Amino acid sequence: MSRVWLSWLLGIVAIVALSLILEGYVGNLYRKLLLTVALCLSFNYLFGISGQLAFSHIAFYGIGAYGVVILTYKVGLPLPLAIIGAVISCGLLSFIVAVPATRLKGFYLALATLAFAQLFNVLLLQGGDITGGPEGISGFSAKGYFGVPSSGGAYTVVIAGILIFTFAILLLLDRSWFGRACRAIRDNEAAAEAMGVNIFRTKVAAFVVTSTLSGIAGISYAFADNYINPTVFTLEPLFLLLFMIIVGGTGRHAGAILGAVVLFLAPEMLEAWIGRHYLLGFGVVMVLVILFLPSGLIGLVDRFQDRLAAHGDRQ
Amino acid sequence: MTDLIDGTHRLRAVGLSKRFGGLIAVTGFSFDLAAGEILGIIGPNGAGKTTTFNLIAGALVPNSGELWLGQTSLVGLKPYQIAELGIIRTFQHNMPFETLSLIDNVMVGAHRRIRGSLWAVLGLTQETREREAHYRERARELIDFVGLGEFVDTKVDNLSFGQGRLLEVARALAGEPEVILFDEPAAGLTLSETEQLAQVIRRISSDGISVLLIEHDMQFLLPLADRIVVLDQGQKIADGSAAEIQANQLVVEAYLGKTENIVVAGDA
Amino acid sequence: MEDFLELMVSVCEAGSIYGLVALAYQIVLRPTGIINFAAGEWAAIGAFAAVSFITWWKLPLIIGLPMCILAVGLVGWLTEVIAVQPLLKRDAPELSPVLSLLGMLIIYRETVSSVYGVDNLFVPMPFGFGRVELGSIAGTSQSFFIIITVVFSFTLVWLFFERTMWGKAFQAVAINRVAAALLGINLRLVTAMSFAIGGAVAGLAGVLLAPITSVHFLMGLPLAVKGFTALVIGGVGRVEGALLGGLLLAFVEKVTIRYAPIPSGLALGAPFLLLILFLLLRPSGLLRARGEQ
Repeated sequence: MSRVWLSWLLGIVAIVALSLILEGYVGNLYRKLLLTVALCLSFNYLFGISGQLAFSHIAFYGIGAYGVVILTYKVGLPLPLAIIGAVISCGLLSFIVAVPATRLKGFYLALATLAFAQLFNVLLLQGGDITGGPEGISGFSAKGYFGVPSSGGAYTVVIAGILIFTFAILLLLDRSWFGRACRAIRDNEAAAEAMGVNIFRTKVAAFVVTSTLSGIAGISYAFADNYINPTVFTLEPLFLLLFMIIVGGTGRHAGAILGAVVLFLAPEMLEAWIGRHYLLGFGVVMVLVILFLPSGLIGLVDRFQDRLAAHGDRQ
Repeated sequence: MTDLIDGTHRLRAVGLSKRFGGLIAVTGFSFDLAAGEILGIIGPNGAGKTTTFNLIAGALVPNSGELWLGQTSLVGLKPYQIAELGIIRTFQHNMPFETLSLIDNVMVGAHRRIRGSLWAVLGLTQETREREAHYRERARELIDFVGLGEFVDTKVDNLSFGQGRLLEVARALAGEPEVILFDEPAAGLTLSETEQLAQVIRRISSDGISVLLIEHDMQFLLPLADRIVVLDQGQKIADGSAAEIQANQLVVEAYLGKTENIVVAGDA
Repeated sequence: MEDFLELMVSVCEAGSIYGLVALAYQIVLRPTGIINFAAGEWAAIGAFAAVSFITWWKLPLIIGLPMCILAVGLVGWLTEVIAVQPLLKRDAPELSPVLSLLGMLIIYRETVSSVYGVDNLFVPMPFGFGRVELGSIAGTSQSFFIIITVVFSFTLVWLFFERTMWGKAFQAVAINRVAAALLGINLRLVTAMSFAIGGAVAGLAGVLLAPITSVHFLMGLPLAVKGFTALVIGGVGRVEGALLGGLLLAFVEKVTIRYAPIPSGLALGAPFLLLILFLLLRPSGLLRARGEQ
């Protein structure tokens, strides 16, 4: 027990320490990595654990980001109120989407939420002065709240905090009866219902919680660059999230983290060799993983560990 | 109106009817089930057995008739609400949660007992953690009880078909049900698995849980059931002990008419 | 009135294209249950094939068009061999082929952008820019070419499904895969054929579309969404539903842009709204499959 807690603690310390150490380009990259991991974790709960393939996850990321910026710099609310407002907007909107959409099966849910995400993007592009249209909104900053500057390592710690918060919530949910119910529904809806699981309510709750977590990540993203624009919230980044989860290992937190880290860093590392064709590589890797590695990279890690353990037993 | 609640009957159906378009699946079917009783429903294919099950479990809504669990009417309730009240069904085909371990499969069965408030979701209250621990312990016992103790933490795909069926029984028991509905539980089982299942069902009923069984396998059902109801073309044609049913001319005709032979006494 | 009639010609033109993409979805979906989101990329590949065969190699339409269709049909068949067949053989979860096809979507798109670059390309109008007038109905020659070709193709596909043994085999598989296999229908072959024919149909849509738009590597995804919307509107069970859905979608789209008192950018949202409405209110579409109540 204590060893488990110690390793969690060490992990948190490492994440926070890196936030303070890394600067400049690498520091910025690290922030984006933290946000990507947070998004992957919540999307993995929605798709991998709860079995809902929803293409609206990035849209809620955008609703969080645009929500907080519009509420502060267009409406004029103080930042804490704007944050609360943006979180509530994500929660309410995701509820409004989830109530009808979760009744759809399989890929039909994906397409309904895709339509919602596209509508959101149309609104961003056509929002005139409110959303800044295709150029987005820039030139804002959040200074002086709670004594936390909105730039540099200190703000990276805030983003790290949001990642840790996201992970903690999802982990607690997953290990409770709620998480079990989510997985049961994913595996066999009729059997879960026969055990007294309220399918509709469970699906809606999972959708709302994960979408709101995505929105919270979006709020912190807005002040990471102090610039938001519609291209960040299109279908492309959603496909990336999906690829990360499938490549890492669908339905497992460790898989989501692994997939996010590997696929996020790969283009950076390999840019010298493959330039902007990394997306082609992603497509190939995704298809290969689905064909030959259904449990993802984390499945490979498991096998490796098992072999190590077996080796250790023999000695 | 008949006196619906007399204390000894746990589950009661009165004049249950279900039509699909012009097809009458069940008509005017009444029966009751006492605490700890094992009631078998038999009948030729298409007699309305599975429809009856789906009506009780809430998968179908009757066109007319009443369904009572104690003093609670079941008509119009959703399947999960009926499960929540303590009526748990199994399916004709095994329906495990494939990616979960055996113990987690059984824990889903305890859903109605474990689920709680928002804080309980996050597992942050002492009470939730204790409840979770209690039912986890019980789930282990149930897995032992059906004889799958050695697989408790493995995934379900390691199980044979018969073992999968026993897991479904353990899962159904985990929620501490008042009534269990078994849909052809012996189908596809080997002889020894069938015997083990019969033993498990007897012990369930001796714990006071009522059991409703649809079954084709008469060798399995006749010695097991306290009472048997015979359905033919959606109507009840007989109701009585195994011996009474076997002596009933109508029953024999219904079966012979369908080329499906009832196993005559002496075999069982 | 004349304005409206001309609008209707362009509705029929766009609707025919959407209908074809919807048909490509349907041909794959019916026997396999797989929603092939790469159908839009197939159409894009058709358009790029037209760039190669017609713009660059200057082949006449009568040779170029069949070659494009054949090429994309081959792509469809390859798609099945690479990304679908191994999963069906392994009895993988239902969603796996859908996801691997999403991977194929990216592979196609990025391959096309590597080969053809990221700039807009053009395909000449096969019949020039002339206008055709039939009484008070007027439009470009390409509009009428598209409409006639699509009506012809739909008739062919309809005849295939309703009148040939092969079509009947497809239907049987659509109804029940296991039973069809017991009847001696070769599931493997039917699945491969459905992807090949689906590819050919989507490819035709791309070739027809190429002269009236700029050919660009990002053109696939919007087509995939439009085609699917048309499919949902028309219903997945009937060939003619795809065309009906395409026409209705194009009608709503064009009429909102032309007449609705909102900025045309905002009118781009209309198809998505329509998709959401149909998914939620009438998921079976306008036309139901034969035999369903």
